[in-house]
Amino acid sequence: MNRDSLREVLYVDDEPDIREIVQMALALVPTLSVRTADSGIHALEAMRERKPDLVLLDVMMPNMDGPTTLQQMRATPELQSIPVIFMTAKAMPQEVARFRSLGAAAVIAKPFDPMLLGEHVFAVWEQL
Amino acid sequence: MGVSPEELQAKVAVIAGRYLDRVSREIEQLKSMVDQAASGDLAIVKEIEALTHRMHGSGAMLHFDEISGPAGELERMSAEFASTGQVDQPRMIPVLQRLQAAIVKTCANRPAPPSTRP
Repeated sequence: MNRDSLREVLYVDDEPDIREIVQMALALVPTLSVRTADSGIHALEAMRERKPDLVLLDVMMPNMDGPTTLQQMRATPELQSIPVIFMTAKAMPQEVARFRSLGAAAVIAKPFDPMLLGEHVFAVWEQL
Repeated sequence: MGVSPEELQAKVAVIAGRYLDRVSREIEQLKSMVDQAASGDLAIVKEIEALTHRMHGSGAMLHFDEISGPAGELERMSAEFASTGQVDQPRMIPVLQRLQAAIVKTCANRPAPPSTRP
């Protein structure tokens, strides 16, 4: 995909500190608009309200975790084509393979360098 | 609206300070929860898991590895107890003590905030 076509990202994480860091980190890219959600349920609501180009999804969240949120997206016609990147501390090769098999476009390991996050996200986007 | 790398670094420093303030309060709450977990109450164990999950994740992100490590151990232990239904609370005590010591040490070593000028 063309870099310029990535305009809006939805970041989903239950941890407010990390949401704030990611929002600022992605704001290093002036052309990118970032919304956040604090749970899988709120993320699905936000996506129905306005469809983002890309979703960055934390894996471990209470009530509805990342994989379940992705499953719900894939079962919803208007959301099923949105690419998803998982962000997780569980980034061992077998876990990455499992997340990819669930339909994730990529996995970004936590902790990540906030200065490089935007470039990392664009690199994944360009390979889609 | 874009931000500069300097603004991002400054924001991360503010969030790090806020994190240390919060975990200093939460460790007291956690000690009380671990005491209560001796009764085998799985609801308390799940609360311990949720609290240590936040301490672990944000701590790692902010490079407070000495705090994040034992918080992650407590998180995994709580998840194990919750899934088996068997609460081996004495196993939590030394990890809790390590977590508390790490919080005290990290807070003691944190740089003083810049002095304000009149």
